[in-house]
Amino acid sequence: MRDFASIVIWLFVASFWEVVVAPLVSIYGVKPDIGMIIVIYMALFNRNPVALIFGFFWGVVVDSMVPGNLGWSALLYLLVGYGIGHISTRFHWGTFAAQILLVFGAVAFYQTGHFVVLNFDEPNTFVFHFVRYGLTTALYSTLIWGLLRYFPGIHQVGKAA
Amino acid sequence: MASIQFGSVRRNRALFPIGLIILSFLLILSPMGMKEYIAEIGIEIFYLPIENIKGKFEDLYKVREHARRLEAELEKAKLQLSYFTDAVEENRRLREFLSLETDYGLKLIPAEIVKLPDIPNQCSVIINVGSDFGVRPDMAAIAPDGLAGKVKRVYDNSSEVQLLIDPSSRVSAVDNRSRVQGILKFNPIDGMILDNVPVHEDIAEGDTIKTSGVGGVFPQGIPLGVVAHFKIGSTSYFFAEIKVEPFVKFSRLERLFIMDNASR
Repeated sequence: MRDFASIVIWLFVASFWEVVVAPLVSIYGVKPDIGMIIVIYMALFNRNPVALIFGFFWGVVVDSMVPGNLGWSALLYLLVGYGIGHISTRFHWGTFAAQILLVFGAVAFYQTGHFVVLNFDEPNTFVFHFVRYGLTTALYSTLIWGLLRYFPGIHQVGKAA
Repeated sequence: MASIQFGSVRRNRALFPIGLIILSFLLILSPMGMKEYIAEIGIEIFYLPIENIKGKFEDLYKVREHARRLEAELEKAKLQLSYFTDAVEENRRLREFLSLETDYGLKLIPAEIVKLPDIPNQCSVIINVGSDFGVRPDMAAIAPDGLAGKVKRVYDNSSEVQLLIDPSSRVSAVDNRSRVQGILKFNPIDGMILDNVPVHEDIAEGDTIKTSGVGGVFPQGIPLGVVAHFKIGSTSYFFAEIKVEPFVKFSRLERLFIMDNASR
């Protein structure tokens, strides 16, 4: 029950960020992927299955804006949550550099999948969208993770794994 | 904690992700109508409430900004109103001055008081017109209500006006009703008095006192004041004690008109 409540609260926190905060911190249309940051945090700290469930539902929430693609983001977030939760037991993610790489890689993976689906009918625009929004979103999200690392408790991420 | 809450999940660790992946594919492959329905639920639960709250806060912020702007405009309007009120008052006074010119048939030189007396007992003011405007000594200085004084000293661009409340000021006056004449003067103890009026003369409280024109300094008929107090025998057996309430409020003087005697 507590995990369920935690997931619902995090879903609302992420929604609040998307609706209220993201437009304020957006730089030329690029905003950090807070959903992915939460998935990574959960995967490293809470491990599965909380990260999996949050990732799945957050993906559904994200896809609500583009009903035609419903399910894709859920799948991508799910895979990221599962993947990180899976490898976190085998590697040590306590170092800052490792976490940076992890966040950047995860966001870049999601953005790749996201733009592949979005630009499925127009493959030529994929590179532009991926470079213009995908990589920049990955960089921005990594920066936010770097800043959040100084928050109390965040530095414990990785050690728990 | 997760092991307690999601115990069944832990037991089926491999099946759980696979189940969610299958669910994702089911969503992907579901018909558009179903997708729209699910998307609508997602929006209504997670986005719309937050959007509504955000909208309310934005409205509140806008209302606050609007109120602040209105407050500033109100202050500005108050200042303008004060300015216009002053302008209306000034307009009224100027009209009164213009009517004076018609009443006395003399050329009037408008003047503003630029300096009040430095010493309280010194009862003269400085006006902003002097010999350049044709002002000469002993010209009458009038206010809308009546005589205020006379020009004492003249400079190029300014003049000193001796007010009636100067103890050394003397004005030949006449009772407008009975034509009894006297000298209007001022002393700090009794105030303005009509002197040199024999006790048997016909003077009554409420009579209007005007300039008599005797002496040639002041034109005849300029209002001076009203008899406020008439008493016989308290200070002298020969002259009545007559106190006059001046028409001009000397503490509120702002503008004067200098009467050009030569234009008569």
